Amino acid sequence: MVNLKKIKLEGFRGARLPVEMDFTNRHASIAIYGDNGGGKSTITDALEWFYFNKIEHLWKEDCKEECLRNTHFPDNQDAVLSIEFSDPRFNSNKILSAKPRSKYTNDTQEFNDYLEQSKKERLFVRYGDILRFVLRPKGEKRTEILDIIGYRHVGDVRSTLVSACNSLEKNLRFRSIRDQIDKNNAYLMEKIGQTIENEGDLYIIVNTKIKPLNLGIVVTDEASLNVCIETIQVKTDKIKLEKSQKLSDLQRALESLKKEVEKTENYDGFLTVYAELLKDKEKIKRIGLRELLEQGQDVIQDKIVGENICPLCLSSIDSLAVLKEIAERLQELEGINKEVQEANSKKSLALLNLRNIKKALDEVTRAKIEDDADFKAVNNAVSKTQTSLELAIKDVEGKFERLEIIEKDTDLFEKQFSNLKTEITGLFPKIKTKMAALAETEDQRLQFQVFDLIGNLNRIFKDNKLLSKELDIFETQIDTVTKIKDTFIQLQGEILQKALNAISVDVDKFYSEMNAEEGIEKIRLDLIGEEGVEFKYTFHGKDSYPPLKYLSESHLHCLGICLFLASVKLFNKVNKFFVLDDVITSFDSDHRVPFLRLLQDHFNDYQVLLFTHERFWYELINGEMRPLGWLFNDVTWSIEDGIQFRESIVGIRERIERKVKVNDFDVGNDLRKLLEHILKQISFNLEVKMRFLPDGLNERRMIGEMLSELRGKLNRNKSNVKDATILDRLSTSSLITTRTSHDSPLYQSKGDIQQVMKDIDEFEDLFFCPNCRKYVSTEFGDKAGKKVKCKCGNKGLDWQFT
Amino acid sequence: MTDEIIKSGEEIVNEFFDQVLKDESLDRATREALSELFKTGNFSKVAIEKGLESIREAALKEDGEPKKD
Repeated sequence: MVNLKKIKLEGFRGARLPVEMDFTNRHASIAIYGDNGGGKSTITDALEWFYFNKIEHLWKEDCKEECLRNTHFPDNQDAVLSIEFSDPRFNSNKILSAKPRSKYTNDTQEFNDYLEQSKKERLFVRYGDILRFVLRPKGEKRTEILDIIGYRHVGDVRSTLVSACNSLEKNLRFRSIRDQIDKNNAYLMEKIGQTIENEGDLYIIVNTKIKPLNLGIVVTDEASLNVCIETIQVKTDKIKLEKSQKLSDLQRALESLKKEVEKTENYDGFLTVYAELLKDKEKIKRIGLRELLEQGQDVIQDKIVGENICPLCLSSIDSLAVLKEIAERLQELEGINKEVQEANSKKSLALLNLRNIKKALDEVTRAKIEDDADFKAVNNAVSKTQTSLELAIKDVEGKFERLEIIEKDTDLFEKQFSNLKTEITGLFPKIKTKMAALAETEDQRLQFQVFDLIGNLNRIFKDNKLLSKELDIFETQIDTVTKIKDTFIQLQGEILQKALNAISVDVDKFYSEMNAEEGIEKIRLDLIGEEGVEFKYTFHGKDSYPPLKYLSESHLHCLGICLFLASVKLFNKVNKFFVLDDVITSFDSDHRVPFLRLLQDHFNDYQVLLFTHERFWYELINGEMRPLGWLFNDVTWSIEDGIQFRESIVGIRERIERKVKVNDFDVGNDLRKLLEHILKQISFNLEVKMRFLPDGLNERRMIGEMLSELRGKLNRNKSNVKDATILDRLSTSSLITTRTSHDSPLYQSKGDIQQVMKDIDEFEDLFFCPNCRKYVSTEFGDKAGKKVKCKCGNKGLDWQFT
Repeated sequence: MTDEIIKSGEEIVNEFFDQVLKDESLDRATREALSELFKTGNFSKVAIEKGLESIREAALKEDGEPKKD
């Protein structure tokens, strides 16, 4: 499997100048310390961009490639991320030009295959990712878990299939076709008592109907049917036949219109639901808050402005409580959104209703007879209704979007529709009379009737044939997509449960090791219903869920990390490394050592990149993991240089010892760095004030100045250590008196160096508690007892507070 | 940890659509359209709707399209 050998960055995100991480030929694990905002995440971002060509948390905020280059990096230079692996076939630079465009320098197929495979693996986890899934609303939790175990894509495909299926079934054209076929079939049933399924049926019926006309024609195909129609036209009065045909068409259009205006139940149903929804208009407007709340959730989870700090007003907050409240509000908004979706769906049906009436009105307009006073009233009524109906349709479309009240147009729906029905009903006998008057003989009457009927039968048959074909295609598509969807859901359930079972074994094991004898046992991930996945567990023997019920924030974190580590074991098949980016922040002290032991016991063969902004935690990692060969490094950031690595303080001691062992005595700078670091820590904890230095020089003070100010403080506060002899020894040591060390080594023998190390340790011991591994601090001052103490109280100094 | 090989999400979905494409009990045009949309990375509700609509239109053109609303 593949490990990291070297990562180099230049011009990328926080790295303006070249930054290099060398994991050595051992491909060692590494712990990196850096303050918040110190640039640690630049490394995680770089890896994410290298493999995925995007950085999820930036892309989510619409910050894309243009945000990847360091803002102070020259435009004429390419930003470069270079990664060397244990397998050199995969070594590549990824170059980001100012345009910005990116490319890999390795274009081999095996490298591309490696990238593709890596995209499926769990390579890094950030602080914000860990807690997010626990706090999401139920509906989103499943998606989050799918994401954590790398199954987001599966969930996305499932959602797409479900929505495509629903959309097909609700397709307005699909519904309209069914309505039209129903209407045609109703006409056939009324006129001939049956529907027409094929040409054979049509020709049998036509032959039956033309028999009394004695045309001497037998209809057997479309050509003979056309001959039949032409023959009837020739045999009778063509003008009268056309008039009769026109009256018949009008009658049919009017019948259809009458039926349509009688059924406005979908429109009424929509108005009821919509009116109910509008009762709390403010509620609907709150849906617009969804995006903001989700962003706020991310900002708090990712601690972008710090822990327990409101990102807006920067006042102190309880992040967990706020996140819980946001989750509840998002769940409420999900409910409101469903109501809006239901109203939207009813709106579509209402519009279908109104458009069908409009279509019927248009058919009547096409068939209308203008040169006859008897039809004037119905023509006027149709024209007026058309205008009013168009306004009603626009009303539904526009006001729904604007969330305005839709008043039912009572003039249209009650008066005009009622008037139309009356006019149409009154017109039918007149049409019948007019048709009868056109036929001078019984034969002619029969010819007119048969001509009209077979014309209609032929038209409806053709119409139905095409409509049925479209309907068949629709139904086949719906059936196919539904089958695909159902099969996918079933498969997803099976594979998800299989994966969850496999992960659960490790999650339970890891969690138990980190939280022995705390009453939480048998942790497992289970599918809940069609939409849910949840952690279940026993709490003091009782089956329980969800985790939020009994688990503290620290325990929830612990659970999240166990889930990530379990999925690393399960899914990573090519890469033998992973990044833990500041994920231990909310662990309480009881979980930290067990976590490191867990890494030792189960991930010793993995390369771990562990980032933290907590100095104490970092030193703890040093104690636990250095013997296993871990590397240590500090990252700093400045506006001029961007991020830079500096040798870790915990690494300096090791380097001094290593050098001395091989009789390399050039350790003056390292000893100085070590003492500087300790002095800074002590000065910070005892609030030793120094003069301000401009241009970033505050961080680059000389040991002599710091020691002098510290001694002054100890004197002013009458500390019992103010006269400690080690202070004198250090004040006169060559560490302070010699400015440079490179040209002439400070020390010439092993004994000298060991003595200085001993002095430094003795000096640190005055202020440092080996029990809680903290320095004495004014933060733990005891004014009454006139002491400053360490966190646990075991170490104390006399201290006269001023 | 279990020794069972668990497939990644990508593998699962890819294999599923390979199977869909081969499943002759499903409508050929629909399964081909869905698989194609998936393989080309255009698998969305809107793209599926459009893809299926094109299939309907093409099929109807053979016999003459009925008037739409």
